[in-house]
Amino acid sequence: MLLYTIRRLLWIVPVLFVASVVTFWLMHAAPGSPWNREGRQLDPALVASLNERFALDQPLPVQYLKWLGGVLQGDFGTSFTSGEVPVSQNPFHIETTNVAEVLGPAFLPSLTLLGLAFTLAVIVGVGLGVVAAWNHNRLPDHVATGITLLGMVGPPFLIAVLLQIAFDTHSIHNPGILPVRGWGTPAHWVLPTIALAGLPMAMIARFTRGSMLEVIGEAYVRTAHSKGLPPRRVALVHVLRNALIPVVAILGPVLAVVITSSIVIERVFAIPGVGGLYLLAITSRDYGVIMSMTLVYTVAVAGLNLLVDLLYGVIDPRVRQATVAA
Amino acid sequence: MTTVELAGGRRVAPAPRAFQGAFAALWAHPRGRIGLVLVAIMALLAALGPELAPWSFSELDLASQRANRHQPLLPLENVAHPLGTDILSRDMLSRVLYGIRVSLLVAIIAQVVIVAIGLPIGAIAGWFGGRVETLLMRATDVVATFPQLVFIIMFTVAFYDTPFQRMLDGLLVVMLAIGLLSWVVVARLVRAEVLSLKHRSYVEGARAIGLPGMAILRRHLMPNLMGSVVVAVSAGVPAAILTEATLSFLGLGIQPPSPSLGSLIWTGTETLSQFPHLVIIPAVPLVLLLVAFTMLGDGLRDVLDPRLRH
Repeated sequence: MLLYTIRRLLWIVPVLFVASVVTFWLMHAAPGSPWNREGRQLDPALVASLNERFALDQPLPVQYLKWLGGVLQGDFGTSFTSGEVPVSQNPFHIETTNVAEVLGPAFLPSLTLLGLAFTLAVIVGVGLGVVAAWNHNRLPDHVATGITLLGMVGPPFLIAVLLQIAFDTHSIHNPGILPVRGWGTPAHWVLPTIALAGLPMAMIARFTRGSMLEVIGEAYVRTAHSKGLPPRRVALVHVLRNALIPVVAILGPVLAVVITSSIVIERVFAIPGVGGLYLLAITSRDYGVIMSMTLVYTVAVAGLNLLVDLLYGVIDPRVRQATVAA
Repeated sequence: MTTVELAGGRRVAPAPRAFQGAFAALWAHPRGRIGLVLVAIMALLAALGPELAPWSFSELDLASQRANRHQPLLPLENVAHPLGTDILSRDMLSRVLYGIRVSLLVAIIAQVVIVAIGLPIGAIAGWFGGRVETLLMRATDVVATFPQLVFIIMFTVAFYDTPFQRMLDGLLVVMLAIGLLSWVVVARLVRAEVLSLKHRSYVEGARAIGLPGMAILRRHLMPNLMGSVVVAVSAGVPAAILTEATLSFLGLGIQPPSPSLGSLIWTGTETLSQFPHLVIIPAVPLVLLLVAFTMLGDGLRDVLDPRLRH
């Protein structure tokens, strides 16, 4: 088990390496530079001196190694623009900030949103799945399957926009109950959380239902029923415990979906999180922020997948034995 | 496929056909039938879009907007514009029809890219095994670990404002980006199928009569792989439609003035309080497309998936 864990942990290294090389190459191969945003035309001599100052004139492999060396020492590079500090109109003065300083404060809103949406998705998703399976082919099943289908086919950004329409504060028909923009009070958290939780909720519900139906058909469940146990106890103790094991396995992909769709959700609701900064950095070629965020997203997705796989081994003895044997 | 005759007169049963009676079975599948009909309607709308559309997608109708106190027309307000007009007085029906066309085109060409990359990688890995397989499947694992949307966004931005990006109104980059990051599922599936088919008697028979490996792969394995590939592709279509819509929503996909359902929704959000119909009108066909392909995909899976069939 320990060996397996170490092997899986080491596997993240090549993934990160390829991801960072691809990002670095794509972003630098693309036309445009941090200096010519918003149609600013700078003197070529000035651009050359700026490039020299920030080492952008060196060959790409050299720039990459420099960046990698910095990251390994905890220095994530320089940001040429940040969401907070407006870029000076004076072209001779380029404001730079440490990437960590730019991104640091943005993590709190993003993580709050991710945590809330994921928790909501798990609770509602498992709940819907259990209700649907336990009432197989009866009304609650059809209702739950209908809600699930809505979540599956409703794009997260569309759900977000429709929620904004429904709760729009500018409309006369709708006195504002919940704010549709920004991130100040917990009331601001409600709509983004719902919009972000839709798709993962549907994924979890669909999978829980299938897994429950499979377990319900097993012999030990019939035994539990014939012992005269109350149905609720059979459902929640005997069936659910085994049915949830495969559900844990899809939490990795589900988390990946939550993390990537949060970029769009943050943009729609104007949340001051890392997703918004990432989109801003991409359009303004802010290399330091782009590279760091790609790393953060890749580490998060790969790491969470690993965590879920390991957790799966811990809770399912059959998997544990198989991995030890392998 | 004819039966293979071995030395000594023994015959090896021909490979089962993946698509035998598939259409009838799909028609009998309740959700599959709805999906099929909806997909057919949407495909027809996309194909005949320019013929049906009363206006071109970029044509302004300033006269009718002036007559309407410079406000966009609401749906059903004017016979000339059944779904109303947008802020710039362009006909919504024509723009939505064009958007459906864009969604379908991107999704289908992205699937072609996915199969063109995933099928050979999976087939070669499964058939040859050994070091080739390890190398190919490790590469697959790396791509599978990438956060998809992040890399697709980056790919489209990397070519922003280049001649390459301007091809097909910016859609070529989107198709390639989706394809380059989504072939993993097909590669893994094909490899697993090849591994399980490799030792079937008809394959061993073909090998015994001296057919070269590539010919066996092409003539005997491919027809049997197609069932699972079709299932994977049909599941990939709604995912690709969603990705294209998301990219265009972020302003990274299609180039204005060409509309896509995603970019129409984004433009609509700017006047969301006054004219919510500008969001809702393009949202309806987008959701319909996703429902149609999800249902068709479910049906095809139940009908074609060899694991469910037996």
